[in-house]
Amino acid sequence: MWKKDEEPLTKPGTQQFSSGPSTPSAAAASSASREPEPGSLERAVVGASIKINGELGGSEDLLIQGQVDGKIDLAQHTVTIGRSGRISADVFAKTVHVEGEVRGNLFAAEQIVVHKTGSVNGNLASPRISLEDGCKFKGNIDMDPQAADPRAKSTRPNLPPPIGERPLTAIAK
Amino acid sequence: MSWFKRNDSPAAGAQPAALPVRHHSLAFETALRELEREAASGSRPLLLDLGPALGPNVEFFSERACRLQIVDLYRSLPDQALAAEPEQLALDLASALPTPTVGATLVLAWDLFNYFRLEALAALGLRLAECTAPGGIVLALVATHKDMPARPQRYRILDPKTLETTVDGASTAAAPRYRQPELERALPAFRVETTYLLRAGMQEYLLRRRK
Repeated sequence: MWKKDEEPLTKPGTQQFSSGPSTPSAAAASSASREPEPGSLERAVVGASIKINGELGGSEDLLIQGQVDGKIDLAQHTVTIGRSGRISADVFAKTVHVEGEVRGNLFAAEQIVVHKTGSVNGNLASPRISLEDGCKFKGNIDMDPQAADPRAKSTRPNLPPPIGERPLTAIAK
Repeated sequence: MSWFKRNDSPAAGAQPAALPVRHHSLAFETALRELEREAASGSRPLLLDLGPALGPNVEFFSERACRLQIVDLYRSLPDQALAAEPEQLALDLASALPTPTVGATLVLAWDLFNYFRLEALAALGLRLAECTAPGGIVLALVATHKDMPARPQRYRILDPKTLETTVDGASTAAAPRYRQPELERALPAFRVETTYLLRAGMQEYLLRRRK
């Protein structure tokens, strides 16, 4: 289920996605999410039973407990891949937290944190990168601020080609 | 998480891990100076770390204007890869350790060499030659005592001169105790530039990639 974990309000400019009947697992995944970052009043959630193949964008923070294949572009916001989240995607965000499994490249303008339960097979680009003891990581790390800027495409050749570059079968935006 | 093949936890029944041990690493200090010299020239050199990703190490190198590539090579290889024929091992190594877009100025191999038999070490040497820039350096620690930890240790960088070693579990294995001529034969693309004998049953090597 694609829904807010704070309030069931739909603000102008935001959308809610439904994928059919609510399931206990999705509800549990949504209710198990962390408190949003200070200053961030709302956060969208991709529930544990949801699989999205395509490109995600928007103007609010995002918690992923399900599966996303493709690309995630929330350049001004925080993206959290929760413990049950699994993504095969490139992520462009302000801050990225990884508690689940990522195959793809992460670009964050401010910070990337790979928590102890997280695993990343891909490249990290951000001015601040933190790997907690116990996390799994395989790839490149680039802490050049320009490399982390999602708009500074000229710096990306430093990193191997994103593995997320594949045909998109659906656009969920 | 199929790309992390090896179970990192101690085997059932194994004794608890030993306490971390600190040592002054002249080899690391020397290699770091070279990396910093190149970084100071504005070239943003590549450092290739073949050990597990450790937060303090990432933080340490984040202050040094270099790019960092981390491949926990031992745990990335398929089970039984180290016992396979050299041709198969070469394929496994190429898969686990892709050639970087630019050659590494410094490769931290830590104690990995000890877990490769001589033929396998030659295959690793070929792979490292592909990944290291001409004139680049490989830092390796070779066991000198009869026994060594059964798995590669974790090396945490405390400061530019000090490493802290943590052993996973207390089980041991026979050490190959490679000597310098054996290393030079197995890794012909490199020459031993400096070596330091440590008291803790290890010898540090700095191997320079031939130009």
